[in-house]
Amino acid sequence: MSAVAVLPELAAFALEPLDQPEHVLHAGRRTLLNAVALAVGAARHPAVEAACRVVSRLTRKAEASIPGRPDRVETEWAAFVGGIAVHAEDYDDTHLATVVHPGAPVVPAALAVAEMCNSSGREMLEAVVVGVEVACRMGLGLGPGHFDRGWHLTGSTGRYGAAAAAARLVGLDGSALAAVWTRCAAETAGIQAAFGTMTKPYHPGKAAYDAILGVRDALDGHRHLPMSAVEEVAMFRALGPDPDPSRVIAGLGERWETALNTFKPYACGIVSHPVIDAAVEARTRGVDGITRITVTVNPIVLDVMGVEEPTNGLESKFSVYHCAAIGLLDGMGGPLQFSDERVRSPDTTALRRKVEVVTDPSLARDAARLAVDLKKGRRIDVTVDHARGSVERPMTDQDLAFKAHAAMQPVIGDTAADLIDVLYTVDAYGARDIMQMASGGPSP
Amino acid sequence: MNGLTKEVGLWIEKIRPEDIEAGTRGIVSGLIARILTATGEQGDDTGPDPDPSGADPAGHAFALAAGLSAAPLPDRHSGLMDLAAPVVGASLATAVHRRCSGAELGVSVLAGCELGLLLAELAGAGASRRISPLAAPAAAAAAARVFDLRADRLVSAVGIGASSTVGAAVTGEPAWQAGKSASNGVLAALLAGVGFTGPADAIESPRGLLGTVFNVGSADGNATLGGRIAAMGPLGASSRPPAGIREQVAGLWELERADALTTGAVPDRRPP
Repeated sequence: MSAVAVLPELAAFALEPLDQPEHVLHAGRRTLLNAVALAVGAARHPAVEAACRVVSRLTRKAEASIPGRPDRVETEWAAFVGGIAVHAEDYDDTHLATVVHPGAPVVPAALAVAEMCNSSGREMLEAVVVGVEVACRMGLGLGPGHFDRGWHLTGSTGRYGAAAAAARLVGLDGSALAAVWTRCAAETAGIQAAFGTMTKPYHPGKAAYDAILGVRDALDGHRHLPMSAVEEVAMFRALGPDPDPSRVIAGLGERWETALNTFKPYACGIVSHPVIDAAVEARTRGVDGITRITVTVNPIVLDVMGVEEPTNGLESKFSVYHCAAIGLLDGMGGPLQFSDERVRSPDTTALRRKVEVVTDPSLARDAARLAVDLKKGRRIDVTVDHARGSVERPMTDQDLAFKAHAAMQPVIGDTAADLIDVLYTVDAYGARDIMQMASGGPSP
Repeated sequence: MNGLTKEVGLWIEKIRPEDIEAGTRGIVSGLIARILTATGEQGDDTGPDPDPSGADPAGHAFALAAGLSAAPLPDRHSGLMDLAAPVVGASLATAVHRRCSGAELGVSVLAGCELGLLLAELAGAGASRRISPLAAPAAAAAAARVFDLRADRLVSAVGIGASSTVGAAVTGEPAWQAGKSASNGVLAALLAGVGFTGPADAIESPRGLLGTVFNVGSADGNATLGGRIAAMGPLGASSRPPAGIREQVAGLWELERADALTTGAVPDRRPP
């Protein structure tokens, strides 16, 4: 364990002028586009509707917009709803080394604060890049045991990233940000038992909300003290069996975790994506008369995706059985494949029950083998070494634009195409222009 | 068979004020009175101004709990020290918001404290020094009871509260921590009240509150926690509340409106 506190160095990095390579900035634009599109697309999702009903009773000022909706609420509440919306369909992004979904807590916080501060698009983009970097690096420092113990990192480390983004936009200093992170540590929250319920997307929403409140309180002079090195070590040790705080700052400014953020082609838990890839591929070879489906995956897949008989759309996002079935039946894995109706349809139910799952620790988390036994002894075998959307097989800009358009068009119509162009060239616009479009207003 | 979290929801839903025996009434009344009285003695400059209108029950809960946390509790149940302020803050703020009776307030406080102490028991002795993360789900249960949520929504409130822990990794300033736990609990209950869903096994799941935050049961699957749950008696059967708190608000259960407690309308019936 480090004898020197690492968070002050991370805070200084998060707030200093940036000199990122273009590919890092572009990764930030992709994260921004993906998150904004999903937030707009989920504007009428039941979880978002429920959250807005509560927020409308608690908010006191009209400071910031909620994507895809006419509502204007306090900045922290806009980020709260935004975080829920981005993660509602489990269709967002993943930093695979940590299983953080950084866009969900960071982007809504950056959007809301940038709108409040009337920031430029460039300032907002840099806040997103910094926030994603911080969230992912905190995940690296906490180690894989943090996830294995049951923490949902999008809630537990996402709040550090959201705070960094907000602090950068309002001009907080490093000492103040480190103090806000003490508060983030005290508010560490998000349990994996919530997977399959609306509380999973609540985690990034609450992380963004808490982070902004912390930054606002710091601006008002209400500050916690930055953690000492001893307190930092105690914090990391309290949250998992294998932390290493030095990983938080290793290669800072040279190696960018932001550039390793990946985007989901399917609206479900990331570790089952190779199974859907394999099922989609098998479907192209003709799969009439299926008698048995055998899926071989890394053991983590059953740990987090082991729901055999999902009863609703949210549960199905954590069912590798359902993922295999809809890949074979529909050849895709968008939000419709994880709707209540699709989960309960007779063909899906019947096929799900033919799925057997075998675990193999030697398989990577983004790999899978699928064997489909058909009548008359025919069999189809498919092996996926790296899932679509992984670091090795990333979604292209065109893929991402297609996904974003499909999410936004039903909500904001033709503005969707314009907003995609604006977000890919965000540096040239203002945060308020973007939020106006995301709320269904005209293009700037 | 229901899991523990669902049993908790069913138990809290069915508590009736008239079923609570006099001794427990006295303890709950005394607890509320004690911390209100102590707060009055010490002043409250730890949070935002209370919102007597109850328009923002989460903010009101923060202010109340932050203030209440300064109150010394001379009881023998150390766990209650960190639970009482968030639970009473959440209960009182929501009771004012809902214009509840004193009896309903009393049941809410009882439900929250009982759940918090149950969780502390399950978390084990090693958790006694950092019981604070249990306060948000306890406050959520208390607020959900005030909102008269049905059992499945009570369960969701507890589940959302279990995902809103404060103090899991480091402890914050005590008043702030109590206030956040209370406001998080109220937010959880408000969300559950409009159909926001939470995990039905938030307590007992290996990836739930006790397994994740307190690392209970992770060494041998869920056997450790399962054993503790199995060894417990029926909910509400044990006498967990603290002894030693004097009965100070004799009329709590007869109060028509709980907000009398925050406006000073309750006569001071402490023994001389």
